[in-house]
Amino acid sequence: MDKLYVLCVDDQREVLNALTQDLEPFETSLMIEECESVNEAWEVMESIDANGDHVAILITDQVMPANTGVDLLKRAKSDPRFQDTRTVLLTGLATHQDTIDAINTAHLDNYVEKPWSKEGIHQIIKVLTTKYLLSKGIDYNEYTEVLDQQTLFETLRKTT
Amino acid sequence: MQEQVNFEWIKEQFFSNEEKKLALAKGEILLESNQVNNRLFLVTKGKLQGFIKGMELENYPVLEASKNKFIGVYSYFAEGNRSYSRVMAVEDSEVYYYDKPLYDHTNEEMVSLAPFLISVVTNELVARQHFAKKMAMEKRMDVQRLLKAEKMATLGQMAAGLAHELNNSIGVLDGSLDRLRVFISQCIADGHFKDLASFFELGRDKGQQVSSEDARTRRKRYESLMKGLSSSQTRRLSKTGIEPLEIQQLIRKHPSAADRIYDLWEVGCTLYDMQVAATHATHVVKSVKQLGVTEHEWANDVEVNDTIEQALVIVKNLTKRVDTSIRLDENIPKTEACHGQLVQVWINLIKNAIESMIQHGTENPRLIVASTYSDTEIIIQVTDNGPGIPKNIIDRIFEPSFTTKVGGLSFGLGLGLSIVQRIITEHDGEIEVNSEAGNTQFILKLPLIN
Repeated sequence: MDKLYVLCVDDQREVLNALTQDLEPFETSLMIEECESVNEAWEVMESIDANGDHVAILITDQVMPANTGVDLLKRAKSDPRFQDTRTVLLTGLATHQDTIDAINTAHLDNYVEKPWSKEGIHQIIKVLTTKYLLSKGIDYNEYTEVLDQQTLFETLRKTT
Repeated sequence: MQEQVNFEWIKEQFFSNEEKKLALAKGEILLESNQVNNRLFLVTKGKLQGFIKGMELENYPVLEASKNKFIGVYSYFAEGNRSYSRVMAVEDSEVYYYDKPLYDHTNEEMVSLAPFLISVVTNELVARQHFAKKMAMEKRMDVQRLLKAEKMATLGQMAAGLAHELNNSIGVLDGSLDRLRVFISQCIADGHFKDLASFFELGRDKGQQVSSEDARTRRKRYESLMKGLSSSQTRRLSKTGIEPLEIQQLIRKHPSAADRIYDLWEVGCTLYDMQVAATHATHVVKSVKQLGVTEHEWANDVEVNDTIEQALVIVKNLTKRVDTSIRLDENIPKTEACHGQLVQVWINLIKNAIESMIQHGTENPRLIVASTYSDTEIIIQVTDNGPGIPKNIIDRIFEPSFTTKVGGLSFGLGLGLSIVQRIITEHDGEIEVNSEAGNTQFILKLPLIN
């Protein structure tokens, strides 16, 4: 079974703790990693890729010291290794321009405002994991716990 | 052949008779309002202004004449020859006048004077028009300034109101938190988790000290040493900072302890985080309150060292994160100052220094707070070995709403240093900043008043 990672990036530990706590139900199928900065996140992403594993979902805060979340998303999208990585901007403080940038240049999949709801983030993880599995052609039967049936059916219907 | 009528010629011809010269001291009246006037004046020195009495305004200026400008144009030419304003010298002035009544001129004289008279009248019209425009502009700017001041005052009142409301809520949270902390600590120490109480206390007293990077390396150790743990368990345990060797035996004996240890540590950690957040919220509210209100009391027996020590108590959870040395000169005399405001100054400077060192990840972060005095002043120095203030922003650090703190719980309102400056200015003191990488020093000098 391929190792699928969900990377959470936020410079506030309290936020990281709360977020990973909400993601715990998925830990049987997905690996959760926490990073406190964009640079750290990039190192972790490279080492995951070097091990032959997948960076499936990248959830990042926008406003952080040094590089912003959008910087990270842009960098990921322009790197062939992370072309299929699904992205979520999770933020309480993104300007209008940041958001436009994120959508236009970083091809953001999802924008979530803080405070988030547990159910909302669960749904997003399921949809994005499903999309990732399908775009990578990974056998989704091993990941039934994190699949979103509707996304699965719709995608399959379109392709067949 | 008629000479060309120009200003110099006119001045020469009609306004150079020394007998028809008047010297006016500043404040002297040339014409009263409604006074009959048959003279046309040329100002050769100083400045005069015409005022009318308005409904509410005592003296409202309507015209102005400085060197080479005419006065009395209206009353000299108009029927009835009455001045409509009160003309006063606003500087020490000199005027020459021409007093041959208009009707005494012959037709030939009138013809040769016509260009001159027309030019005087037109110039006067234009000058008054300009003056009126200038007054209108000034008035508009005044109104705008007033509106802005009013807006700031309203903002200040709103901020103070908001701060008061928030303060009450934070007070309740802070107090409840304390009680909860005592109660939970007691329950854990007495209850059936008492063997694991030390893990709770670790979280409660220190919070999460492990960076995500440290956690990742520790997680590898957990994975290789304790194969039975799930992915979620290794991730969680690695965050506590507890080494796998410390709890290996315990978990082998009681597998359920793996989750318990983390749960208890996490409860402790939550209490710690709440405490940090409450302290921070209190500080923010205090800063906002400082904005609009100056309700602090001044006294003439303020011990500056006391204010420093009080500030250090408030920022204790910050100073304990760096190597802090306090060097206070015990002989500093009492002075006239505002105790509460000085405390605020030290809090801001210390917070700034420590937050910049932490944010930058300075190795061996060090803070020195020192006080000393001379015959005339008390000198306080706050020194850190953080990254320093970049040259391109050093001139702007005292501006309100200038901030470098954009991320995380330590976000800034950008009020800190602008408050510091306001308070020190109110104390007739001075602020000096010297900054380079690895050595930033704020030197504050307060006048010694006994």
